[in-house]
Amino acid sequence: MIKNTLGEVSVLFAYPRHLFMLAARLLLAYGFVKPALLKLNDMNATAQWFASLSIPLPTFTAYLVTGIETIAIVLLVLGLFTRPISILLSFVMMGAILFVHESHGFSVSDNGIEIPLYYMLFLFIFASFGAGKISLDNLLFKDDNK
Amino acid sequence: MNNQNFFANFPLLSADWGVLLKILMVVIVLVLFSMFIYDRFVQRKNQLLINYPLIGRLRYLFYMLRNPMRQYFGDETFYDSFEKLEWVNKVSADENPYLSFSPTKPYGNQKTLFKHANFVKEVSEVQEEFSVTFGEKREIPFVSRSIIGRSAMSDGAISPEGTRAFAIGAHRGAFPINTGEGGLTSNFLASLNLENLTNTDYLEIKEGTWFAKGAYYGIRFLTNREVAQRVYRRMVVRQKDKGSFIFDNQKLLYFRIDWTKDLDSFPKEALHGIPDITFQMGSGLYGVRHHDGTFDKERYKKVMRFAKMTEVKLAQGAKQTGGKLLATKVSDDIAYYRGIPAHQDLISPNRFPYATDMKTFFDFITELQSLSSKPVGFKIVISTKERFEDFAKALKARKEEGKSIADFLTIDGGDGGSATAPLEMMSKIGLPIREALEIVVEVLEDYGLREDLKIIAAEKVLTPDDVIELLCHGADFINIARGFMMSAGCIRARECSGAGGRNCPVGLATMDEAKRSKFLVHQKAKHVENYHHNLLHGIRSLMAVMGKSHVSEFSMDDLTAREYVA
Repeated sequence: MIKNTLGEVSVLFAYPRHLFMLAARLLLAYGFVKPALLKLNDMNATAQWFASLSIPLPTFTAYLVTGIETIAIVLLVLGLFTRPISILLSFVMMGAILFVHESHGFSVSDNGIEIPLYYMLFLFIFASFGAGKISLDNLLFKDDNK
Repeated sequence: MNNQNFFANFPLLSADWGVLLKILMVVIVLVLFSMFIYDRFVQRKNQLLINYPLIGRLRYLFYMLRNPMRQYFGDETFYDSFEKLEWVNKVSADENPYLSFSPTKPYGNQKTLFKHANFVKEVSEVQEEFSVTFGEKREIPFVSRSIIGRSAMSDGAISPEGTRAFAIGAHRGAFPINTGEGGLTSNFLASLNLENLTNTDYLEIKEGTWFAKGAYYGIRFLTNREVAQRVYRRMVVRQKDKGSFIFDNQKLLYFRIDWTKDLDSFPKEALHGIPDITFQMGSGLYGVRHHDGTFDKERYKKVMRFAKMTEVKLAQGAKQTGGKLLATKVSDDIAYYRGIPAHQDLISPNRFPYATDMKTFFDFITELQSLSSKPVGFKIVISTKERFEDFAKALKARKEEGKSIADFLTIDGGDGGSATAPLEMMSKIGLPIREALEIVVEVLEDYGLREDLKIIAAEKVLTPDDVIELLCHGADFINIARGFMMSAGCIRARECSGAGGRNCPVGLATMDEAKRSKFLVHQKAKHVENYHHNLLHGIRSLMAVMGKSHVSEFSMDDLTAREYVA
C-alpha cells in the first residue's frame, strides 16, 4: 500500500520536472545578467577591480570571465550546450567564492558565500542532469542521459 | 494610455531589441553563406547541390512534403475520385455526404454500372438487419450482425490507442473486427467493463490507491478524461509494458488478460461487452506460440475463448511475404503480446509454418476447428484459375473423405492489403478482386463447394457502391481496412511504418508515444461506428433503387459491363 502510493506520488510529481529545469535555467540566467552587464560596460574598471582582488592576469581573466558569463546567459536560456557551459560557469563561481565572498563568511546578508554557493550547486545539477526536455540540447542532440 | 506607456509595463517588450535583430540577420546571412560554400566547394556527395548550392535543397524539402501534402494540391489518383474520400470523412463525422453537380471522375468512363429497377422500392422494404453465418457445421458457428467487417490490422502496426478506438467502434457498431497477425491483444477488449463480469480470474488487475484516484478526479476536473486517464495509467501501472493494460472507467482500474492462468479460469460463454473478434494467425503465430516459435495449443484455446472465428493468413493483397515490424514499433507492449524480444526488427517468415502442401495445411485447419469448435478459414490472394483449382481439388477430396473443410475463404485483391509492402510486390503480385472473385465463385461452384465456404472479399472498398459491386461479384462479406483507417483519422500521409524516421502524423499507425498517446480514442470510436452505420445505410438506399430487398439477390446480372469506355 505504502509502496504503491509512493510509486504513484513519484510518477505524478515527476511530470513537471522539465518545467522546473527550465525555470531554474531561466532564473540562473537572469541572475547573471546584472553582474555580466556591469563588467561588460566598463572592461577597464573590471580589470582594475580584478587586480585589486589580487586575481592573477587581471585583464585576461576579466575578459574571460565576462565572456563566459555573457555567453552562458544566452546558452542557459536556450538550453544549448548546457552541460559544458555549466561546468565553465561553475569555475567562475568558484573564483567568486574564493576571491570575493570567502572572507565575508556564509550569510547572504554579509555578502557571504551563500548565493554563489547555491548558484554553483545549480550549475552542478545542470551539468549532471542536463538541461531537461525543454531545451535545444534535447531537440538537436537528443541528450538521453537525463 | 498610449502604446509606449503600455509596453513600458513589460520589460521584455520595452527593451531595445534593435541590436539583437541586426545580430540575428547577420547570423542568418552567415549561416546561409556557409551552407552555400559547403554545398558548392566542400561536400562531394550530392551532385545537384554542387551545381545548385543552397537553392537545390528546396528539392528535398518539397520531396518531403509531397506525400503529406499531395491530397491538398494533387489530383486523386489512388481512388476513383476525391469525392469518395470526402464521403468517408463526412459520414465519419456524421455529416450529410450529399454532393452537388457531379463527381470529378467523368461518369462516362466507368466500366460497370448498376442496373436500377423500373419501379424502385422504398428503403423500408429493404432488409434492416444484415447477417452472415460462418461455419454452420461447427459446434459454435459465428453469426455476424453485419456484412462489413474491419479488415486485418495488427495491434502494433496500428497504435494501441487506434486499436482501442476500432474495438470500441466495432462493439458499438456491432460489426466484426479482425485482429491481424499481431495477435489478440488487450486493446481488442477495450470496450469491456469489469462491472458486467462475474468471473475475473483470468485477468491481471491493477487498481490505484486513494492518491492516484484523487489525482485522476482532480486532473479530469481541470482538463479532460483522456489526459487524466493517461496520467492515471502511468501512476498505477508502473511497469515497462504498461500499454498492454486497458482501462475500466467505471471502477478506475487497469486490467489485461493473464495468459499464464489455466484454461479453466477463462470464460466459457461468449463475453458480453466485446466486439465480434476474428483471430488472424499469420506466419509468425504471434500470440499463440511457444517461446521457440512453435504452435501453442493451450494458448490458442484461451485466445479462442474471446474470438468468434479464426483466419489463417497465407497471403495478403500486396505482399506474400511475412509482415515486417521495424524495431521502433516493437515496443515493450508488443513484445508482451506477441511473445518476442522488444526493440528488435520483427520479421515474420514468408511461409506459414504448417502449410508446406495442401494436406498439411488443411489438416492444420481441421485441428484448429477441433481445438476451438469455432469456424476456421484462410486468407489468400488469387493468381490464376489453375492455382486456385488446386485448393478446390484438395477441399473437395477432403469433403468426399468426410473430413471437415475450411468454413470461409478470405480473398484479398492484389491492389489492396498493402500495409507497408515492397513496391515490386505492390506493383505486380495478385489478381484484382473482381477478376479474382469471378474465378473463385466459378471454381467453387464447379467443385460443389460454394455452399460450404463463405467468401470474404476485400480491396480498397470505401463507399456503399464499392460494397455492392463486390456483393454482385459473389462475395458474402466485405472487409474494409482503408475506409476504417480514414474514419479513424488517417490523413494518408503515407508515413505508416516509421521507416525514414517519420511517424504517422495522427498517431494512428505509430508506436511513437508522443503522437499516439494523445489520440482521441472515444471520438474516433464514434467516427468508426458512424462510418460503418452510414455504409449500411448507403447500401440499403442503393438496394432500394436496384429493387432488391435482400443481399442474397445480388448477382452479376445486376451489373452492366460497358463497352463504350473512352
